[in-house]
Amino acid sequence: MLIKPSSIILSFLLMINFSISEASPTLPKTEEPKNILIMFSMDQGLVAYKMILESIKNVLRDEYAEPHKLYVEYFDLGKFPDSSYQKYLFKQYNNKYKNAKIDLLISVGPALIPLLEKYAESYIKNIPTISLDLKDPFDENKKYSLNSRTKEILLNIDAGTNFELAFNLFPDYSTIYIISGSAGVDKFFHKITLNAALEYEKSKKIVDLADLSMEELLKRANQIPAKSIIFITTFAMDGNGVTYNTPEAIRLITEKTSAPVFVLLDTPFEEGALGGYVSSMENFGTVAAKSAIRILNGENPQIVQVDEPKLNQYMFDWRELKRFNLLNSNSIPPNSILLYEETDFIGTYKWIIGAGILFIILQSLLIINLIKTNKKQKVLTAQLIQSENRYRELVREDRLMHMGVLTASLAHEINQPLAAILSNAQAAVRYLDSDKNTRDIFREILGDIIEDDKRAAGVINSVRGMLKQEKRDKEIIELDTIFKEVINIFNSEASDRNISIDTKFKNESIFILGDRIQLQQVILNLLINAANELDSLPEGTRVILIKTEVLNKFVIVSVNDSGPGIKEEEKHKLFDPFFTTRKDGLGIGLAVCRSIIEDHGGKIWAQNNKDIGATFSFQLKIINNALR
Amino acid sequence: MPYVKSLIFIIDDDNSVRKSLARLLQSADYEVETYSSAEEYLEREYFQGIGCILLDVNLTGMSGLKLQEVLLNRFPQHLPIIFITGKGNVPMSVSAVKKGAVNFLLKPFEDKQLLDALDEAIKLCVDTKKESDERLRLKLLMDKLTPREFEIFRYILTGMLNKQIAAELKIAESTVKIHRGNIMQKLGINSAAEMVRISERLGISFPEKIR
Repeated sequence: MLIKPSSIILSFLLMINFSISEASPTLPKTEEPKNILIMFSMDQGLVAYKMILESIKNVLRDEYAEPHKLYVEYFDLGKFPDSSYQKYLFKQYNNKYKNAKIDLLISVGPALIPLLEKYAESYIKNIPTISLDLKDPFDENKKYSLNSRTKEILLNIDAGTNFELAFNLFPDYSTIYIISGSAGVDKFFHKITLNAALEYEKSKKIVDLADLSMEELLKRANQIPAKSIIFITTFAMDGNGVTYNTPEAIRLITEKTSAPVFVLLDTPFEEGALGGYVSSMENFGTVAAKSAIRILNGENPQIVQVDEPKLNQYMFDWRELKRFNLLNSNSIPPNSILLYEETDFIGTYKWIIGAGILFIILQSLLIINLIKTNKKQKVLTAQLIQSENRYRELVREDRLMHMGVLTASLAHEINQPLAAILSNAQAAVRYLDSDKNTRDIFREILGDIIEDDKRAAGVINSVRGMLKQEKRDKEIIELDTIFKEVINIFNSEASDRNISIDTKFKNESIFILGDRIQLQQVILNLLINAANELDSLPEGTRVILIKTEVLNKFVIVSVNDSGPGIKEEEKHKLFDPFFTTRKDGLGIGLAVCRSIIEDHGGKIWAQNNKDIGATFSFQLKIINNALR
Repeated sequence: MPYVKSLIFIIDDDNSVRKSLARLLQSADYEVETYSSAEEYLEREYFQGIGCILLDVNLTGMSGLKLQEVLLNRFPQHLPIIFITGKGNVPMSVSAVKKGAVNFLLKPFEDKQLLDALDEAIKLCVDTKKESDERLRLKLLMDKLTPREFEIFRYILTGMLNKQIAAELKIAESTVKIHRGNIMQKLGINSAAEMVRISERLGISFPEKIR
């Protein structure tokens, strides 16, 4: 592809242009954090408030990516209903949040909205607001909105549904106990509950245990007869003005009685209550936070609608249901939330658990198996690598060993002509100094020198060919010539080791089709092997006999040594790679021999001699005269 | 120049080496015979004159070292051997020299190296020859002694007086005296000291009893 210079310049200019426009300064948007002020009307210790706040924080953290700050205030109006205190408080808060630039107010009731309206400064009360409050069924005119930008989230305490649920679950229970604290909130819940209970006035006996001291209450609780249902509303304070919180009160009461305890809020579930149709403080907070996010993102607070999660829901302590043998009751509404299911987890989910356990066992077995296989694999791989490395090493060693023999023979083979050349040349010099007529002698000498020089070159060429191990075409070879060269090569080695080599060849010329170098390698290997067998013998008894025999259309070449022979147990693995009886042995010589001979369509074998030693033989097909 | 024309035997299976060596030695006025194998050399009639063998170690068939062994067994006084090899090593040369080789030359070698080695070998050959000739002469003289004279000869070697020898052999002192005179005459010597020298040459020991 050709790029025109002009297009390069153009794109270059475009780049410059682009980077200039990018570099031009634009003021970064200074994102100031959104400030959210949460005001709780009651005291910090209320479990419901804790749950609401926790829930708001969680949702904001998870779902609101913008930077934001949360300010939280508790008015404790329940204990301090005095208006001068309220006035004083608001003075402080007004002052405190004067410069805080609050973006959103979350007011958590009850009874906070009127106070805000009355005392709060505009930077608190004239901003988007979320009003969390309890819907008061007894006050039609109750105000829940602070301003025109208020989102109301109202909790409808539904005691009636709770009674309905209770009587569905315990149809034959005839007595209702209603327990409440004495705080303002408690009274509110008590009023709602009692009001709902009155619906059952005719069919059930209603016992109201409100406004008692804790001591008295627990005494009464202890005497609650069987087949009674207890409703605990809220319990912020007992009749003596001692502060409690609802879960704490429920715990104390359920310790004294075994009757089923129904509650109105999701706060006290760990304390022995059975459950009920409850208002979820957690969900209250969640809905508030979700609304808050949308309002902060610019939605109109009055239109913002968050339906999920539901503020009221059926919720049970699974352990309590079990205690009353209600786990499979049809009266448990669908979509109920069951808590603390762990005790009889196995029974309920036995199939799943069984399957799970089976799965785990199978998986474990699989894993164990895999680990084993892996280990084995590793070992095998290591062994394989090791043996591969060893094989390479051995091949190299084998070659080196051959190189040793070859080098010796090379030295010998080259030294011969060199020696001859030198002697001839020196003789010539001597003749020059004498008075004899030396012309003819010089001709002879120079002729011999030329011959010897050629011979030396020939030796180097043949050795080079042998080392190269090239793939060569098979040719018709006279067997004798192969032997002669190899025996020449091996002779010096043999004489070093005091081994005498005898030959017994057929007089007739035998021709075979093969690779000269490869066959020489086989014979050399067999000779080296035989020589190794002889090392342990005394000098003078070390004999190798090479002979050829003709059998039908085959020639059998045998290398016979006078060594200790082959052990019975080694016979079948002699030609296996890496099998060796020698400490420094390589174990591939014979394997190489076998592969070469088999490649020539022949076979190779070994056997012990009748008297001493062993004979290694190979058989090749003879090429008859007509073919030549 | 050797005072007797020496004969050098070249035994090497390599044709060109053999030929070139022969040519070199001829240029130095040596008589040369060449053989291509140990076996071929062994077929030759045993040479008793002055000479030397130039022997290749790595012969096909019987090796040079083997030939040395065979020669040593067959003819203890055989010609000195100079080994030549294209590929020598220490153990090989040590073994060869132990068995009496005079030299061990590594091919290719300088003519001076070879000719010096030959000179040395021939000198050794001549000395050996001389020595063995002398011993042969003495042996022939000793053979002239009667058994009694030989016995008394051995007693004289011990340094015993005629009287003591007579007592030992339970014969008269005068008889011993006569025997001693005959011995001196037969061996052509004048003193007991010369008798000792002869005994050393021929390896004649003291009589059994005295030892």
